[in-house]
Amino acid sequence: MAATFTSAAFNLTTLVQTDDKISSAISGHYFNNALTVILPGTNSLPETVSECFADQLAYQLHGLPVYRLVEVPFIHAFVKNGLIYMLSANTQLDTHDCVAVTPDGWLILHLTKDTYHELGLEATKQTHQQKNSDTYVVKVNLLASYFKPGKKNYDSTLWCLKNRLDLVFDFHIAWEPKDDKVCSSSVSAYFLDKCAKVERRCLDRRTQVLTSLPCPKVQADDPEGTSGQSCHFQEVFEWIGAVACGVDMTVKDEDTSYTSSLCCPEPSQNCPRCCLFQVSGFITPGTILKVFKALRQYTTAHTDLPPASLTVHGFQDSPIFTNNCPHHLHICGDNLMTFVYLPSNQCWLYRAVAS
Amino acid sequence: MALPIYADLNIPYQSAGSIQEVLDLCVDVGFERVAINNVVKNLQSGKNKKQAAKPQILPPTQILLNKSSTDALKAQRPKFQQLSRFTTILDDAANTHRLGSPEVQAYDIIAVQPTDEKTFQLACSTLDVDIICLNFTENLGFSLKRPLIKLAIKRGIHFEISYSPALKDNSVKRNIISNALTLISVSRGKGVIISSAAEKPIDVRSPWDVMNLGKLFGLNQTQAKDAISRNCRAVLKHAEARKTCKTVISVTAASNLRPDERWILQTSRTEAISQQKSITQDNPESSSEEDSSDDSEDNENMDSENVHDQPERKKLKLDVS
Amino acid sequence: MKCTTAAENSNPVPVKPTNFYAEKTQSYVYLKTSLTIEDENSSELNGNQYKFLILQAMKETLGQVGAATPVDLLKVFGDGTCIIRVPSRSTEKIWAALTLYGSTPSGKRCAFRVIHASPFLLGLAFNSRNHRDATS
Repeated sequence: MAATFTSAAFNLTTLVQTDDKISSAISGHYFNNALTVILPGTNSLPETVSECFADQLAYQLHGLPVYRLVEVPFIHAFVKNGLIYMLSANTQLDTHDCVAVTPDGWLILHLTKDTYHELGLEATKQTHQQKNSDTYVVKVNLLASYFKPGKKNYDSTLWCLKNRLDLVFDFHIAWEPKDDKVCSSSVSAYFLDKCAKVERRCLDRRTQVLTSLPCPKVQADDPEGTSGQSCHFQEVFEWIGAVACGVDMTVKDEDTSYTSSLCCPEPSQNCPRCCLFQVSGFITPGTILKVFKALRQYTTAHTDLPPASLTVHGFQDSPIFTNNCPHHLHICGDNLMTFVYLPSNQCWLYRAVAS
Repeated sequence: MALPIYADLNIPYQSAGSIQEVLDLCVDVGFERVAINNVVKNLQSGKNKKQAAKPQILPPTQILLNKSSTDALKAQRPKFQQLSRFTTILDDAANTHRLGSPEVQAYDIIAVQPTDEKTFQLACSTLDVDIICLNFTENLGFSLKRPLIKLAIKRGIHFEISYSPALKDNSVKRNIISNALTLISVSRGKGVIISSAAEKPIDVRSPWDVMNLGKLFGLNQTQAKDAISRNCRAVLKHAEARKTCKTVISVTAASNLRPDERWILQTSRTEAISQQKSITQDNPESSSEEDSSDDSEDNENMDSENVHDQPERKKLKLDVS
Repeated sequence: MKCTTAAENSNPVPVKPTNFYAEKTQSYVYLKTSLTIEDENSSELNGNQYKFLILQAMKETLGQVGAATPVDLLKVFGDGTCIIRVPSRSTEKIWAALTLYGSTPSGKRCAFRVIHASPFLLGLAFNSRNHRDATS
């Protein structure tokens, strides 16, 4: 990546659809902004997929002081008894302070230089990129046995967050309780009197039907297309992007090739109808896992169709992306995961990260 | 606290309506800190220094947007901040003493535009300013020397490149690019800020555009980003340091502390309580220092005394520039 | 490239061998750009007019050689924004040429502003920073 982006990682893993790696990849990608599902051969999204979003509850908290997140009732009720996803909203990773609480019980404060120096909490070791951009990451393990009132570490952390700086943020929040009998909306009830306003975040769904869409031919065991019978995996990824952005990919004649030379990679097949479903909001990995399974069910029943795909769009400004890797943002913070469902229980997993 | 948010430190002052339009777009594309620039061409008028002929300097409150308009911008970007900036053109090395006058010092940022080698040397080595801007639209007429630029950078002064003139004319575009390339190769990419100088909304570009432009000028990845974020923050810190005289310790009255800074007092609570009584007496001096409307000379002495006399109330600030 | 080693090393006994392919460089960069033309509604521009202006911008700053770089206009949205694909090697130059393009051949002031840049086309499908605009 010569000039524009400081780093860009792009890779493909070929897996079996039942592999544990898939569920660990999904559940390790905590903060998801949107999903794109491309489902050839159908006019509408199968019920089984749209049902997955039924119990997805996400809220936006306005003006929540950060010290509320290290208070004991919160840790006991939500961090210990479920998976909590919190990410500061309307904050930009490269220029603002960002805060996140991950389901494995870490409070992550991604701080700029001034805030860090005035706050007085110790940061973890900086990566090279963080040093360059003067950002500091403070990680607090909310589940540690020593992290409780009366202990020095807890008291000083609480005091710093509470008294030193007025750290107040808006948050996206979602909670998946361990106990099925508890409703995940109780998290909003808890914060009702602790912040300025609690708002339900609805999902924004869009379904489109695309007709006579050219689809690339894909072979599970030949991602690089060496045999000429299938397309290169990178072209397939670009094609998925083109469909998601609504780019016209019909083969160009001389007039239209003036504007764009992009067309569907060869060899391709024509798909008479295709459903494009896009949903955005604050989507938990639990929901995504359900969607993944529902789609798997659907695709195993319809093997003769061009491959379906599911893309997970992570938040650009999330301080971590998959598996607690620190995330850095320079020009764009795109972090994506795409699953392509292939015949005979095969699956491709793309991961793309740029900064 | 100053976040390294995207900043455009040069929006020329004009009527409130048109400046509002420019700022609206700036905020829309992603800038969160803007400085409205009042350019006074000539500080001293002619040789017969009549009081009446002196060019008037508007107080910063008049050039800034009023509260209702900034509130509207803050609704869109909560961290939005507007600053006032004063720029003058230095065409005579003798005309600089008015830079220290209270009406100029009332501005948040002070910039000068040297026109020849002599004034450039003066600006780099002695003048107490935050930004040096050069007229890049035509051939500079003098060479930028590394030692001088290094000295200026060491003193925390930043060099400004404004891009909007390049959008209007092709030969100007060439001049700006070549002058910027020279400046950046001499300064090795340090101490440079890029600003728009946009008179109309159409001249404003997005922060990412400006960053990429910085790369065209020869900055590297990080430097290009710093040119609109970290370096602009350093300019602010430098301006702050200028007001509180050259020091890493500044003194304010305890009653002037913001609520989020109150914790400073708690390190020695008993002393803090006893201080409460004396605060009322100290108030006038310290507030005048905040406004910096008094002669800075006097305050300088007072500050250093305060530091020795009342160690409880000193507040450590980190030197950033 | 941390993911590389993670995917290769973990879980040593999959049902079928896991294969791993990594691509170090992306050949294109995708720019989501908005075009504003003074006193004119840029949303009425069609693809050909849009592309013409992009080529003009490249010609003006980069000359004939620069303008020969293949640039694809993938999509024009109704609101005057578009998606451009440029070869990643010459992104910086072409982007700067767009930024510095100040007036159309007919003499009207105009401005290309890049809203979102990504090495992946999929990345442009959503912008998590625009959330507030989407909800309000």
